[in-house]
Amino acid sequence: MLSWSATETNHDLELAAIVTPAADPGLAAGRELINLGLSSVGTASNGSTVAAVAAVLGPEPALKAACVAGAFEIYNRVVDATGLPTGPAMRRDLASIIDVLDLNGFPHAGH
Amino acid sequence: MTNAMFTLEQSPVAVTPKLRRLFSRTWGHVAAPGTWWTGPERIAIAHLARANRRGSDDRDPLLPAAASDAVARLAATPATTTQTQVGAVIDGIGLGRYVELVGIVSEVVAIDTVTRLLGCDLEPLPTPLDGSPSRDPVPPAVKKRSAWVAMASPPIPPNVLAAVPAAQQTMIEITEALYMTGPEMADPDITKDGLHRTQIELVATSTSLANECFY
Repeated sequence: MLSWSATETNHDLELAAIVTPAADPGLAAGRELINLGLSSVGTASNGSTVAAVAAVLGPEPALKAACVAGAFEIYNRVVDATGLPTGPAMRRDLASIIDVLDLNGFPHAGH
Repeated sequence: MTNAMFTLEQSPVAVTPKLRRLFSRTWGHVAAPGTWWTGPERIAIAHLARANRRGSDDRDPLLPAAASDAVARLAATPATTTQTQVGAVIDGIGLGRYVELVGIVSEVVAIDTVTRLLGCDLEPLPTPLDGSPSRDPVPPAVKKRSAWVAMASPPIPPNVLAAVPAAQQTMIEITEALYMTGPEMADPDITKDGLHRTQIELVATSTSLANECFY
């Protein structure tokens, strides 16, 4: 979905920025949004990543970003708990993102 | 569930009444008897999910050991789940109980995640409600397909919870509110609450990367 959206809407997204802190994602508040997503797995309450997004985009988008992270805590668990396979067609479509983000090392990469 | 819940006053950004209502409704759903688990069992699952996510290895005597193990894994390290483990849990507690448990843990972790990202203290879990589980039967469209659990078609995330329609519906309600609806997913250029689709997917991808979720 990320590559597809960026391509369809002519956003010059640098995918590698997700795993390379020094790289510029090429999107408004890209670094702040990445940091928010990556911090979702923590256990401490800390509003700093939301505040950082709000500083760039404003409060409403920042709240939405937090909500999206929450939604994907559901999606991630549901698919990993039930073994929903990715399938060959999706793997083909996502080959570049799988490679750039080095996803083949993930536990369910082979499923 | 009362208006006093989910005040989220510590948040650095204003929290909409709509979001607060969604969270309060979800807490009410967790506390109520489900399809296969009672209200007290569902709250026990929620408590255990929170504890395990913080690194505790607590177990709850109200829950079968297989269920406790599944909750611990799902809450803290969902990507480590294996087909063998899922098969064993389902053999032990049944498909319906497992699917319902997946729904409860996922909802609680999701709401806790948003709460923490907003810099707020976690909302106390609700008091469980009395009553018997509905034991609604598994719908006939649910079959063993390519996933590790019997599910509905097509192979999309909500359909892996189809064995327990109430769990599936709750998942859909929450994810549509927090992310977007199914029809909206077809639009690469949509903007939701001021966030463009590409920005939304950047958060989604980063979250999934942190959870080591390949899908």
